[in-house]
Amino acid sequence: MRDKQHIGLKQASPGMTLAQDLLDIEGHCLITTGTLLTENKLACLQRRGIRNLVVWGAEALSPQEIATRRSAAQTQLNRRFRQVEQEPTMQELKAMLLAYRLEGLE
Amino acid sequence: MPILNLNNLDQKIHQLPSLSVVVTRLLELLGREDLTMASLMSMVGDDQALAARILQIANSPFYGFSRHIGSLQDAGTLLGIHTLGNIITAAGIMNHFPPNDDDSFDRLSFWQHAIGVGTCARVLARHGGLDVEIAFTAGLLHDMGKLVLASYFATDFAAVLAWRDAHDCLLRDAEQAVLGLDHTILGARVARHWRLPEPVANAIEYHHNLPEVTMPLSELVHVADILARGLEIGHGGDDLIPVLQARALQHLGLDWQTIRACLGEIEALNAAAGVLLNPGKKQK
Repeated sequence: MRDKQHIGLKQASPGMTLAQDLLDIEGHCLITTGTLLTENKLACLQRRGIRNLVVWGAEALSPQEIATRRSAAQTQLNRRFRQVEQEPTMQELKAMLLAYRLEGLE
Repeated sequence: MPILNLNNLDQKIHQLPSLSVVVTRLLELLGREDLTMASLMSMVGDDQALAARILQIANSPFYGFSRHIGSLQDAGTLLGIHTLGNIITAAGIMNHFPPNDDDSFDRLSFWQHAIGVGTCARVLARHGGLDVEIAFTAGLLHDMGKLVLASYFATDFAAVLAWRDAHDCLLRDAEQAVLGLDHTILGARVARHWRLPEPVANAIEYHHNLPEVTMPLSELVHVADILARGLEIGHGGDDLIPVLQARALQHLGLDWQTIRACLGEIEALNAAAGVLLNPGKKQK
């Protein structure tokens, strides 16, 4: 189980795996999630002017660490939404944000 | 007794320090048809701080140029008048209220939130078929009224913060209670006084109180502001989140699936946009 890391291209090295679709400035997909980054691919991204990407972290997260992070995400959202819990649109928004936060903790 | 109120608002605004002479002049010229890129660039060059901020924005991840832009001429050629106009507006305001750490009001966190809303607005604008440049500008400047309050009406602002803390409410509710006006009204009046583009002034005014008629840019900033708060990007003076008006999503043609798909891009873009808060530091 790993978490997603947002890094600059200069910090990327061959062997890393892309954790999120890489888009160009217009939102077109260049490389899909799960692609293994090779030297060639990194050089290509450099030429295309890509500066940032999201990769899977090398360190495995312990179940404890994952539970802590889940709990922290929930707590933060609960606090933020504490006065609007009864609004249906806000319930949907909160659920979406929670799902997004937790998807990085596989 | 607060200094600021609805009756003296316009008078007080006219007493505020102006934007730099160059920025003021540029904003006046931007709408004119006889404007040339050469004259625009030559004027910008007279304000070194503005020129530096423009280059910083031009080199930010929003434009994704594969090489570093080192000169105003290159910036002008590569970006075009429309984009440049928006950058000048953004740069002028950022330079007027630099992101210093302040005792009473954390400007750094404020600008992080502002950039975050700008980024959200920019990404959502693309999906909603709206102009991305003005979306970013409107998002960046949406809470300008808070900066004006904090910078020029410090005692009133302190009273507002105290009320907010005592009542655990949104900043604008505290502003209304203490001053009889809020940062949207103040910000919009200042924006018009400084001749910022009218759609931006409208977004500043209506991003909390959406009018009955559809105002796409205001609705976009409304959504972007709430999204940025949900993503905990920076801090705009509230740890609460306002209610999202569902009709804004409908008018913009945005659904939860689309928004969810944007979140990763927003966070990645925003992380890289942090360079805007570090003048003089080179991007890694």
